[in-house]
Amino acid sequence: MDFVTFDASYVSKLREGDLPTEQHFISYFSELILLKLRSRLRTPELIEDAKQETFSRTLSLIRSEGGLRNAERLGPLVNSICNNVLMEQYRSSGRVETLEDGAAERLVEERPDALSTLISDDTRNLVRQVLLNLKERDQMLLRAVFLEERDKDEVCRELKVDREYLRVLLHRAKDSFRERYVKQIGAEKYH
Amino acid sequence: MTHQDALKEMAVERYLLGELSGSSLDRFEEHLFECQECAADLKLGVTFIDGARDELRRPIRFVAHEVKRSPGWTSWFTNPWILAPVLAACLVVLAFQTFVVLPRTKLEVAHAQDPAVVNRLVLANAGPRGNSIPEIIAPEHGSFVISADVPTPGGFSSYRCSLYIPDGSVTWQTTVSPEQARDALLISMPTVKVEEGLNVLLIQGIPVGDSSSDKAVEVAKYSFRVKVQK
Repeated sequence: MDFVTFDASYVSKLREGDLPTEQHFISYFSELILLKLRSRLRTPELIEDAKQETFSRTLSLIRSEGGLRNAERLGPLVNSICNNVLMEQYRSSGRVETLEDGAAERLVEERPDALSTLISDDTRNLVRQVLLNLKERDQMLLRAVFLEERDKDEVCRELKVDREYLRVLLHRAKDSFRERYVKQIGAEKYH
Repeated sequence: MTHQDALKEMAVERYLLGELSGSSLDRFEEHLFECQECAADLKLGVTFIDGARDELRRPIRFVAHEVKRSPGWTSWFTNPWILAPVLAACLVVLAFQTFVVLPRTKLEVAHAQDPAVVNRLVLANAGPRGNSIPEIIAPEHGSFVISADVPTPGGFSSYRCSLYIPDGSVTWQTTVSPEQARDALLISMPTVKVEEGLNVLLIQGIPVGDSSSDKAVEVAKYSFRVKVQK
């Protein structure tokens, strides 16, 4: 697994406005912000606004005098700013500050949805394979929890398993999916 | 939170299941934004769950895991190493029956159904002329008729006829009623039941009210010589 190192050089390039680095930054953290906000904000528009606001503030901070002193803390900084934006969203509930048009366009993730390209037909087939290899009870468990969104304690009681079993089931299914995913689609797309 | 903590606590799974809240949620999210491994794991988990939601919307398709069973006794029927010799043996038996046994049986039945003149052995006057031993020439693959006189002194419920071959063993036995014994008994005797030499037909009376063989009383004993016609 090749990971990009968020070090002084990376932050320096962001500060200087290096386009490839900025695109990587937007792409990488877009997915994380989306994952973080999708259970907290009601609409995709609100999520998109919060995401853009987070990037805008983070880049502004990095490019300000003094900037980011500890480059390794870039990730936590993005998270922290995202939390602030989220809190402001909750407080204002509807009041969204507009960014300058040019800046907004630049900070939008160009892919239609940060995760939608991951869930392709190939991926669906892999998920299907994983599910078909599960026991009937495990399929029912995942269906009740993720599709029907039923109370997990109640579902576990019904199927005579505990919450730990549910975690381990998810862990194993995820590992099985990763194994197939990396094998079929390739490690580079994994990131 | 360190990466090891996250692994140990199954933080990614808890996050995906919505089990984290408050400070544990904050700690994990802070870690998530700085740990690319956890981030990649989470993205993969979300992809799987989103894909699973689509798949699970369809009717459940359960695939039973293959269970290897120990072969039952019926597997003998499908084992080619056993099946082939067994089939070959069956074929041989079938051929033997078709080409040997069946024609022979048909021939025998035909012979049996054909009218034929048979030799007759008359056994009578046991006692007074007991020393005279009649002789019968019996066809090897046929039969002959024994006409035996059964003395009926009375007091017997039935009579038992036993045929002794030269070595002293009984090869045939039957019981007749007093009514059957009133006239001479006609016995169709296959030659295979007798042996060349001196054979004996012993007739015993079974006393009334006592069917045990111990109490049987000899009423006639006929010796006859058999000569088999080849």
